[in-house]
Amino acid sequence: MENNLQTMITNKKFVIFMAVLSVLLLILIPLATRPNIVPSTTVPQPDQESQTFTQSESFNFNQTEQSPEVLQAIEEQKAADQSYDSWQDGNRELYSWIRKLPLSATNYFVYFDLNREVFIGRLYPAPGEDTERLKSDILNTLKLEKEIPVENFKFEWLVNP
Amino acid sequence: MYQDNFGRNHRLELLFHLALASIVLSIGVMTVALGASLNNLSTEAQTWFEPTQKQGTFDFTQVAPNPTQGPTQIPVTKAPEVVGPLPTGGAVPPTAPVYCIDDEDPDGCDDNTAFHVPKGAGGAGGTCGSVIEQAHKLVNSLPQYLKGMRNSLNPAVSTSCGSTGPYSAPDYISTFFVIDAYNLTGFSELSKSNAAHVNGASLLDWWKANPAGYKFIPYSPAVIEQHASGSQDLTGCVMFLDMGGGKVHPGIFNVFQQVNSAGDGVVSILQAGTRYFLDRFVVAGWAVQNTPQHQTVISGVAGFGCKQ
Repeated sequence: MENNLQTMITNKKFVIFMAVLSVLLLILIPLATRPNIVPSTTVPQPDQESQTFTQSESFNFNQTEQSPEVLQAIEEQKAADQSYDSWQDGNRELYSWIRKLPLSATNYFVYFDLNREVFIGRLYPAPGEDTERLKSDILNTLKLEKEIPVENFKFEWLVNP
Repeated sequence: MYQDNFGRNHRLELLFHLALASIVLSIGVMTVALGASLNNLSTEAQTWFEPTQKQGTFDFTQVAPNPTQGPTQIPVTKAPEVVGPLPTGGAVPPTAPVYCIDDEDPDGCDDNTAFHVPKGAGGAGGTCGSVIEQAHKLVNSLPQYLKGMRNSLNPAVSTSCGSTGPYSAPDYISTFFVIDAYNLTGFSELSKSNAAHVNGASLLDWWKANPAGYKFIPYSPAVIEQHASGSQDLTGCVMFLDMGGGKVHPGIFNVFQQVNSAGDGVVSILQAGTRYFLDRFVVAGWAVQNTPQHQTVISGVAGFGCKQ
């Protein structure tokens, strides 16, 4: 076997083949491991749509680049939004149950009029239905289920034919 | 000449050993390069075999809106009007077709007595869907915490028509919400860099001037009735609420929940810059009740800004 190996390595063709193979590998390895120089942004990614917008397509907003007029408008609108929110917050503070309304069913619709501070009960009784019984049921629902202090407020009943 | 006494060729042996060393070295380098390449694979490429959806569970806290929605052509149709008692129920996932608005603590929705307000559909539509659809996306990007103002936007909302960009508190105001909803739909006439659009009162004036492609509908109970009948769809229109003193707060008309044929029900708007993203207004006999300034035909100070 040692003789065979010796014969093989002394074979000129084998030595030349090995030398050529080595040179090829030495050339190919750097090429194969060279970093990809193609910019990643040129490869479309399904989740990168927003990055492909041109300036005109994007309505992103940079506050530091805005005119004094726009900055003033922003501050004015913040104040308007705050005013609206305070109004809503005040309603919730005064009438903590306000968001439980309106109370509705097929034969009535009840809400609270903030301007007049009265409950409005719009009734749609079926033919022959006892209207007083319907009112009593509504008051019980508001008081017991919704826990609204209805005794502190006036009621206006509007019975519709 | 290079052979020894045993006939061995030293030069060839040297070449042979060098070649062997080169091959071993090459294989080592290639193995390292292969490892580095695999390490640089994207997350998607590494987890392609994993399931992409949790089965049988809802993860409310981790569900986030996709900020980069692709171009979607949504058929814009008139939402069917549902007449009947206002639906109630418990908490719903963000993907549900309704918003859960708690009747006691508007943030919590922790019992089954909360109002379920349908997410409006239909109305004006552009190349990137409908205005109301974009408003729902914007709502999903408003702060999701229990208490606090809805005056920031994160993540940004995008369609193929553009992107809003993210906003930190307290910079996301009610008019930005309106402008973004229209811009995302593909209507580019409104701009967050135009003071006349950023200020709510000026925006109302802009709409009242009926610029090309837009129309202003002064408030009257008849308008609500026409909406209910389908002859004047207000879905996606801007509902202007006049606070007096030159202050105007706009929101996007979401839906009119009609309770009976007499015109009783609830109108809801979607908004930003306030504590709650959705506010409800009682409608009695087609007339909107309990607005900051009770809107009448006579005052005519508030109304609906729509796309033609």
